[in-house]
Amino acid sequence: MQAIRHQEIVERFLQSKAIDFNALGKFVAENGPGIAASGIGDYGVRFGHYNILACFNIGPIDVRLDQFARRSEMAAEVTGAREAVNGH
Amino acid sequence: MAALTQASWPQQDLLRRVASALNIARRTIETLGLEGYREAVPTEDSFGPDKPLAETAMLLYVVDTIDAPTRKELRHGELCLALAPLARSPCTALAIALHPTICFQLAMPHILLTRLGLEDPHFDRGLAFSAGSMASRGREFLPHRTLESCWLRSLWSATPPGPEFARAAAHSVLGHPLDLLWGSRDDAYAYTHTCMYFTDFGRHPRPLPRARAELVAESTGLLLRSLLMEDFDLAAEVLMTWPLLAADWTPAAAFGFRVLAELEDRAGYLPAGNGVPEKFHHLAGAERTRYALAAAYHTAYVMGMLCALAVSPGRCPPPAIAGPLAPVSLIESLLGLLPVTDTPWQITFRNLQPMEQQALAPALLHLALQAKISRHDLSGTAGLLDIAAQHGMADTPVCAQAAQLLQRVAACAAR
Repeated sequence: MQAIRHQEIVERFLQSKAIDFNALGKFVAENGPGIAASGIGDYGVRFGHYNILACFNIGPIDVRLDQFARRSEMAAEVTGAREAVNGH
Repeated sequence: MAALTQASWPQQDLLRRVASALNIARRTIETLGLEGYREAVPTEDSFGPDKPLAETAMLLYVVDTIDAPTRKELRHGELCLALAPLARSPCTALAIALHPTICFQLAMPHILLTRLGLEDPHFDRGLAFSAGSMASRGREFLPHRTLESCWLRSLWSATPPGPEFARAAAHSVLGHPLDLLWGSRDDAYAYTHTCMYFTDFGRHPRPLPRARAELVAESTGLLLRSLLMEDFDLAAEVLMTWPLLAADWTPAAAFGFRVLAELEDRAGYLPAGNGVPEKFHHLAGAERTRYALAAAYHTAYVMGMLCALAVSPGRCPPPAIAGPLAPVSLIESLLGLLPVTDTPWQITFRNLQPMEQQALAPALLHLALQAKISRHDLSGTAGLLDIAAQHGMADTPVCAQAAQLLQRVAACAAR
């Protein structure tokens, strides 16, 4: 079976009118500045050549870094060392 | 990691890990040696001081096989001296007097310290009184607990264990094939502890209840299942089987050791499981330290014991994984049957040299089999057994038990 092209996916999506771009624009106008100032995650809308993404949360900048920090704290308590982890 | 150019895992690296375990042991007996770990509301995480004291004594007993100058550098003697008053506390003496049926278990630190040269005749008289009392044999024990009692009595009396010892071993999980597919954690620990007591932690090789090759093959299945389930405490105990039985390190065992060593290096200690317990982040100060040590000391000790055993000549794991090379296509095919994750065994596997990966086809097959069976994917299990048969990898206890599982299920379906 021939794989569907990204271009065709986007065209079909736009033709379906699943997104009300007027309402989306209103949402960004009303909430965008607050989200941008919050510094938490990454919320909003992205338009691009291949994709449209809306209201997504990327989440912690790097989950591995967060786990690394937590593991370092645990290691410090167990071993009594300040820098117990050699490296990740 | 040290360069993998030597025939054996670098001794200095093994000793570094032993030193780390002894450091954690010092902190553990300082923090938990008087009261153990108890929460405001008792939970299954709670334990009395007897547990960490006994396990510290075991660690010291195993480390005692290392040469004297190195032990001195490790401050082994200092830790023995620190343990002694805790091991022979008035509370412990009273517990021994009250409970003759478990007097040897309660006196384990005292017995092991005595064997290490730190005697206490007064405490010993109390133990003798309890061990010789009418009720001292009045408890029903599981075979591996009977073995433990026999081992301790033998050490205490400095006489070889009697026929009851061999009988207990034969009736234990050492004498019969383990359930490698659905067996409980308790059975797995019974197996590892039986190996420890039966061999006196590797000091006394004895005729085994079953062929060494059979036990090694089962240990391999148990090890890989532990890695799959991210139970590093059990994985480290199972790995002790190789030096305890003086068995040649198989590719799977060498891989397992590498996984644990790399994880220990990344985390700063060998954790019992992947990730940090959630509870840790809600605690602060001394309570946080107590919880961290309570949660982590046991696995750190086991890694220390494993490395101390591995220091002995002929018992050291190889730094590189070597074995018959499977086709790359088979390796890729088996990997494709396992979900890609950041679990420690996969992190280590991805960083192996290509020939090391090719030597681990049987291990990958086992991992894939265990994963399929845990999800009750019997069709997938059958497919893997077919692959195993085609590539001459089916002659293992895991494959045999998987085949019997399918036979049993098919018999059910046919009714």
